[in-house]
Amino acid sequence: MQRALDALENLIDETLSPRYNPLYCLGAICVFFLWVLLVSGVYLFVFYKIGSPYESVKTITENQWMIGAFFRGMHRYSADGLVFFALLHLSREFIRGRFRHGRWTQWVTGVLTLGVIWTTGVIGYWMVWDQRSQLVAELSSKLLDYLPIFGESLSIAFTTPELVTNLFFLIALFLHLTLPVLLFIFIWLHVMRVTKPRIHPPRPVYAGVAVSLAFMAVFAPVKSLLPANTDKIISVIGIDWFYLFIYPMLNSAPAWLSWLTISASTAVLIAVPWIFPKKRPAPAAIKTENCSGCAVCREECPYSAIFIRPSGPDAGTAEVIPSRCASCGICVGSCAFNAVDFPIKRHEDIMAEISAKVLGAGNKGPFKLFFACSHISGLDHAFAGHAGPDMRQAGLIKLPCAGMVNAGWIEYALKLGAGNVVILGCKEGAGWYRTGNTLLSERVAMLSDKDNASRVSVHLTSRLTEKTLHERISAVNEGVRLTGDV
Amino acid sequence: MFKKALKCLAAVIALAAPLAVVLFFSESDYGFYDPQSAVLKLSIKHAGHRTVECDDMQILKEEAERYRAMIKDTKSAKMKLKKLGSCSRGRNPVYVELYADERLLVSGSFEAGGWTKDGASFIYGKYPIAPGKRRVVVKMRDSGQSDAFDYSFSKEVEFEAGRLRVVKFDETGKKIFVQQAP
Repeated sequence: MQRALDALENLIDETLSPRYNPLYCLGAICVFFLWVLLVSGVYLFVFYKIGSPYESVKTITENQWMIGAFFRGMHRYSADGLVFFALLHLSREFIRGRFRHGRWTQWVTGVLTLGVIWTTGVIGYWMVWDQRSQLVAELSSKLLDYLPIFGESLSIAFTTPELVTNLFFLIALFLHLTLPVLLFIFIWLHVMRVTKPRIHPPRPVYAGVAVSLAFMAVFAPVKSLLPANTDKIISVIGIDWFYLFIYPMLNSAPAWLSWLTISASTAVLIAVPWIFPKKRPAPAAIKTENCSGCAVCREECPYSAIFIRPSGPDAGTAEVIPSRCASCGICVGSCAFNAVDFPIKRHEDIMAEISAKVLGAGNKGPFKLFFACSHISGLDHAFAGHAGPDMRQAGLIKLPCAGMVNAGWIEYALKLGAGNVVILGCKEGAGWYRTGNTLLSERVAMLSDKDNASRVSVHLTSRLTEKTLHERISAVNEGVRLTGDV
Repeated sequence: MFKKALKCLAAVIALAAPLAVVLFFSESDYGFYDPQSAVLKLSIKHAGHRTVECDDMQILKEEAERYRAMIKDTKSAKMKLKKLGSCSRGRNPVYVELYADERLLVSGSFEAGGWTKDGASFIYGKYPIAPGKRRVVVKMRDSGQSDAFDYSFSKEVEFEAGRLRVVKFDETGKKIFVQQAP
């Protein structure tokens, strides 16, 4: 699955460029759909009448010079797009394994958000009161009647037309308007532990999504079916599979089976971080004696896992919350005082590795030291398989994230005699640890000797092959810029 | 130039792919019922007899009398509310059998509603049926007796394709009936 996703991402990267690849901003696209839903929903709310739901929706759709139909289409298609992109977002994070350890809160709140989106959407279908709404209302009642919390049977309310009162539409409208509040709370919880969450996609992506929605709203306008009629059976109708996928089952299976399916699948989805566990890598820790309290690590930690102690003997120094730490090492790169103890790869070990690689190369030509994110696919293969003469003059130090590269290490490598330092990070927009790859230019800017900066290059890529590695080495030798260079 | 055009085409495809998925799944047909069949709906709300027959009003009256006498003699008294609740409010389940041309569509006991099983029983179900004239028979028991039926109904009903007929219970007239479409 990882490979298939890599291939798909690469394909879109090549056509749209990584910056505008929608797969790298799926969550942000979902937020955009929510804004469209809000704006179009306000418009529909102004003209919606509880006393005559079907007629008012029909009037909005047919008697407003296309404006009402356009807003209705935008509302419906953005609701569908929201579910589709939320599912893509969920699947991508699952395939990438980004749901474990400190990220469980994002995963769980994401699943709950999807649940609220689904409930809100289903209730939205009640409000049109056409045949589809009738079916959805009847089958929803069948489901709810199974719970022993309602004094009256809800299904019986849909037996004959006179039993369907305005109160039903008032409740539907109330729920459809209030549940989104819950939605925004869940989204807030979803991004609460994320530093600088990406909630706005790049403008071209905005434009692409907006144009697509408008295209669908104009060329495939949303229409009501025949008005609800409790005396007639509903045989074959078009249903919205993004929201009503459970209804065919509800129609044919007993309510207990539907509840079992819904609860079991929700429970499994929520429990994914614990169903697929992985040994937690050791978290970072702060060496208090070295910490100056500059708070750069706190600012750069992508998961809000670092805070500055407000009181106590070590007040003013940084502290890591181990349960939130993703062990990316970005705090190591941000610290100019060697105040972060990172057990996975300690500062001292990396310094020793740099010495061994640079000094071990001898005097056979300018040595190129590569610091690379270990999540770049093909990395080991590219370095192991490349046997060209230039390769004998190149060394690789793998890190959990390229954002871990510390300016001090670069200076040390150059001081020892390395000709060039190359940092290989994840593609733009697709950082394994969110912002790690966006900090690389800052790491180079932190170099105290500005002349050294010309000998450092940063390259963002998702995949490395022998060929691309060779091209990279040649480009460094010739001082040429390649696609992906920062 | 060709490369640029190819890129544009690829961008359009990248945009059109999710668009096509959304459009397709946004409204695809599904058959819930055979359009050539009719449906018999059973929709009854009825409270079964109480499991314990006791006179709530008499108990309340007696307790109020005791309270009045005690407060007159002692100037202080406590109402024994527990005593008022000693009479079980539970109701018998409602048992229903529904036949169409002697074919049993449903038979079952429907528990009284509420946490303490003191509310009405709700019987609801939809049963596809072939169009034509069918004899609909409904038998219902609410007294908790094991053999006798307290209400029964039998009538020849015309079923049209694509239409519904609803079996209901008239609480005022205490009888089962089939509602005809207007």
